[in-house]
Amino acid sequence: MDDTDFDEFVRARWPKLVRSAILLGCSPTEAEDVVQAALTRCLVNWTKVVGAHDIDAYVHRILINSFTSSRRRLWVREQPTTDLEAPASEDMTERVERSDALLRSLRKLGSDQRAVVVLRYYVQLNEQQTAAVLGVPVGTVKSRLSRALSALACDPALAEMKGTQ
Amino acid sequence: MNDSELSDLIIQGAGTIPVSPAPVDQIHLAAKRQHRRRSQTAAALIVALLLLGVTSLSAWRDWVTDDAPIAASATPVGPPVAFSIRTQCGIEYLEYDGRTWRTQPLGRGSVPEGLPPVVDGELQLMSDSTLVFTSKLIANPIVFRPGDVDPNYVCF
Repeated sequence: MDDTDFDEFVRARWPKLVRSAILLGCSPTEAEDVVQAALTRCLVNWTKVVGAHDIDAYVHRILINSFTSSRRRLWVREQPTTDLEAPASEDMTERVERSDALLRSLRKLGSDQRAVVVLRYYVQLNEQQTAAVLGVPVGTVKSRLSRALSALACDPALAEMKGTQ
Repeated sequence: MNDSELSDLIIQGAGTIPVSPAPVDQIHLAAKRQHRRRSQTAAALIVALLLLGVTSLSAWRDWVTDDAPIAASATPVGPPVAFSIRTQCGIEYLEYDGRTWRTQPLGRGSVPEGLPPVVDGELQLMSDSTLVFTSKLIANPIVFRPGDVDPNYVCF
């Protein structure tokens, strides 16, 4: 794999990684910074990433670490940009409502439970992969998922989302 | 709500979150900066270690040679030479290299306890101002410095 492969990798994974970071608790801007920092680490250690048994799990582990570091430091290393993103012009009302409901529900979970839910149900890692990414036993993943599911099951915002499907 | 329902809800809800295009070029730039920082850090570390090594070596040499000029000595600084000290008036002065050397007095004017009247050993000029006598009969090396004989000093 060379730079071209990395570029393709980034373009393919970027949306999912940014959304994962947002689901984990970042603001949209912060999420892009965290993912950019994670992907920069990936590029610096690209040989390791490519050699990893499960690239997606490996990259998500780096993402989780970047996210945790950013929370610990209470700041995120921003990379300066010369291009400003153009503001969205289409009517985003319904989309914003759905994503807002989801984010409100996830915010009610503790950070550990939220990470498990995001990795398991959004990133679609299995329990073993999730455990490896978070560095916890599979049993811990299961118990966190169970508690998170119980909390989400009675969350009105999520029920509302379910109703509008 | 079961696993698959929750998964669908999350995937659909997350899918509505707008995301900007991937800043591939910026990631490359940031990675280059990190590479440069790592290289600079490594270079700085190497330089620091070299400096530390040179400084330590210099300090060690200073400690061994006492940092004194050696040009004035007719006897080269270097290997030890066989030397015998007479101890009948204690050990305080000795003549070497045409000069008088002095140390902290041992023996209070008479033969130090446990030593014979003549102690055989080695004398090593460490620098122009440091002369060291060692002997199997004496536990610690005796350091002599250039000095003059006290006018009140008497030894028969």
